[in-house]
Amino acid sequence: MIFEKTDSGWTLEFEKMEAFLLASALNQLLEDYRLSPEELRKMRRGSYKRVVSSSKEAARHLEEEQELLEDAETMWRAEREGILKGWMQSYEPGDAWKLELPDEELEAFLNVLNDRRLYLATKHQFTVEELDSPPEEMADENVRAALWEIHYLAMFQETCLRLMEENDDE
Amino acid sequence: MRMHGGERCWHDGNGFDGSDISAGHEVIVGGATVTPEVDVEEKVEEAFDKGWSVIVWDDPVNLMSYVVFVFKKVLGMNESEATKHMLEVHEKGKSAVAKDNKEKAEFLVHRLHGFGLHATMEQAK
Repeated sequence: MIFEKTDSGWTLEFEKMEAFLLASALNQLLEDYRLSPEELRKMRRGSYKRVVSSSKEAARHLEEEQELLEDAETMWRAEREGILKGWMQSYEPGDAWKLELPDEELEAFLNVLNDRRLYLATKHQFTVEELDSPPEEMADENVRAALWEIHYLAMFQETCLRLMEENDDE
Repeated sequence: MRMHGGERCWHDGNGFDGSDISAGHEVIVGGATVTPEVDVEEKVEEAFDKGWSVIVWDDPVNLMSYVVFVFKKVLGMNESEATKHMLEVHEKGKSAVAKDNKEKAEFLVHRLHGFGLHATMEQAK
């Protein structure tokens, strides 16, 4: 994985396997972005109760807030879906992937990685303990795959954040 | 201006500013009589009251470094403030990251939510 600052933005280069993993995750995210507010609400209701701070207070506040945030979320999901579709056009399955992003899209890249991690965690209702466990210890194959995905997307996120910080310092 | 008990307010569509509506008092709007449930004056005070806190709740997915980045980006915090609040979220389960009027607090909650953080707002007691 190579991230480079250019005059017009950023160049992100992924080797074949990295590109495959990333493209699979982002393709799935395109599906996630099409979930209806009702489907999301249902998914999150369970997740809030089980996961967020293990706190009933947090769950109650977040559920109340959810409805107020839905319209805005529908808008930014559509916006990110559009950006993501544009990126995916430059990916040829089986090849390495060179993604050229204008400056403002590096933040969008960070957001979509985070969105996918959040969708996975919500879908599987992962607890803190499960997220801290080695994925190979999980009995269910889908759960193992989801945990691996959460972790490798985190690695891309960390790299992005580090580079943005280094670039700000210059 | 508040209305006194028993008074009625007639809305004729000319220059009515809404400030005469009080909770529990009848108002005639377009020929229909309605009873506002909320005092407009109180609503205005509430909107401009800078006693609204933005709360960020802990969750096990968002990375610590990402949360620091979002606090800097959305809330204009410096590295040390952002790190302090991130650790508070992590260790205590939540942190009040901003205090402002209702509109600004709502705006910040929306922005934080757009970055995937679990944020809510509450009025300081």
